[in-house]
Amino acid sequence: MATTAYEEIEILARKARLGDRNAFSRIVQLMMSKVTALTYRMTGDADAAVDLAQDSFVAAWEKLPRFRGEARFTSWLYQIAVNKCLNYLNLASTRRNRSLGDSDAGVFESTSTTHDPVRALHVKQLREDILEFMNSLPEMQRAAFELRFYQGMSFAEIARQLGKAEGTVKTNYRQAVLKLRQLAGEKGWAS
Amino acid sequence: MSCAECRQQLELSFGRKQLDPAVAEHLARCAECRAHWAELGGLADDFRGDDAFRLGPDTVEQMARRVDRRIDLIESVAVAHQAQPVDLWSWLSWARAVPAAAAVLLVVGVGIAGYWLGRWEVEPVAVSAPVETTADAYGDEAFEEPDELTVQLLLDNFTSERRLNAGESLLDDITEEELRYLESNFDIGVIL
Repeated sequence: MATTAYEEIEILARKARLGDRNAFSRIVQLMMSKVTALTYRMTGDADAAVDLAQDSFVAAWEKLPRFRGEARFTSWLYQIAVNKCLNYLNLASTRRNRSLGDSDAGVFESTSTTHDPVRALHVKQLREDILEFMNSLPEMQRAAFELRFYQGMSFAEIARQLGKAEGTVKTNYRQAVLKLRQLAGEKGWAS
Repeated sequence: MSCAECRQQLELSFGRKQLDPAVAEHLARCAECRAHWAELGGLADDFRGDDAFRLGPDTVEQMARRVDRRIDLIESVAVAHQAQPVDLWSWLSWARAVPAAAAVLLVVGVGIAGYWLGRWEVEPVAVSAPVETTADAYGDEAFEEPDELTVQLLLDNFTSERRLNAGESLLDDITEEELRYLESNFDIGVIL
């Protein structure tokens, strides 16, 4: 029976926890794009996103012996990445004012879009819209939206990982959704 | 469930396909809330942007190699630490040991000196009692201080201040026997 990507990652994580470097390298290969997308949406800075994604994997390797498997490995990894982004945003608040997406330099151009200029343009526009929206959110709303909408985590899981009450996470998420709805109406994003 | 409660639940379910049965039941009979949910669903689909943040395989490979190199470095440092357990004596090199030993000796020395100085009893210096009476001067407690009349009589009769009457000599009151003793033993002319 074929395993899903998530199941494969959980199996690899169990091996990596026992010190299997090859298993961890495979996880890095499978998860790098998702983690970098997370750090980019959280920071709005491609260079920082690349650095923070790599930092997150290195931190995950160092903390792996303490990972008890109570949560999914991917959720645990996203938590590390989100915390790194929140620290980055706290330490470098001035960077939040920079124009978004101005330094991605093709890092996020996938092979599926590079051959279709129209599609590539649409994807680029969508990326800029998402970054504009994410950048408009306060940090906790941004973290709640990222983990819930993009990473599919439950409110209880997000609350546990961010160290917040579940009600607080729900409030932050709902406010982010309302903000998105408002912004979409203003910018004509809604389809 | 009211429409306000339903919309709140729909907003919390943004990006999800499955709804709470109570919310689904409300949607089945409320066109306005159904429209709200359709709008949110379209926005979520448009905004997911899975392609928008996908890295190219070369970029993934490059970043993965960087992560591997950093982990290699961490591991090599950890192995080096394990291979060289901390040796107390090597850690206490001369550079550290000499000032440490000097400080310890100084503290011990000050402690010992303080202890002995505290124990040393200073010999009391002999101080003579103030001289106020003749008895004090001679150190003879049995000496009886003469009264004032006796002192005056002694001063009147036995000091050089005594004035002699006319024809009176200092030797007038000596006896004959005393005079003979003086004549036989001394040049009486010099005395007189």
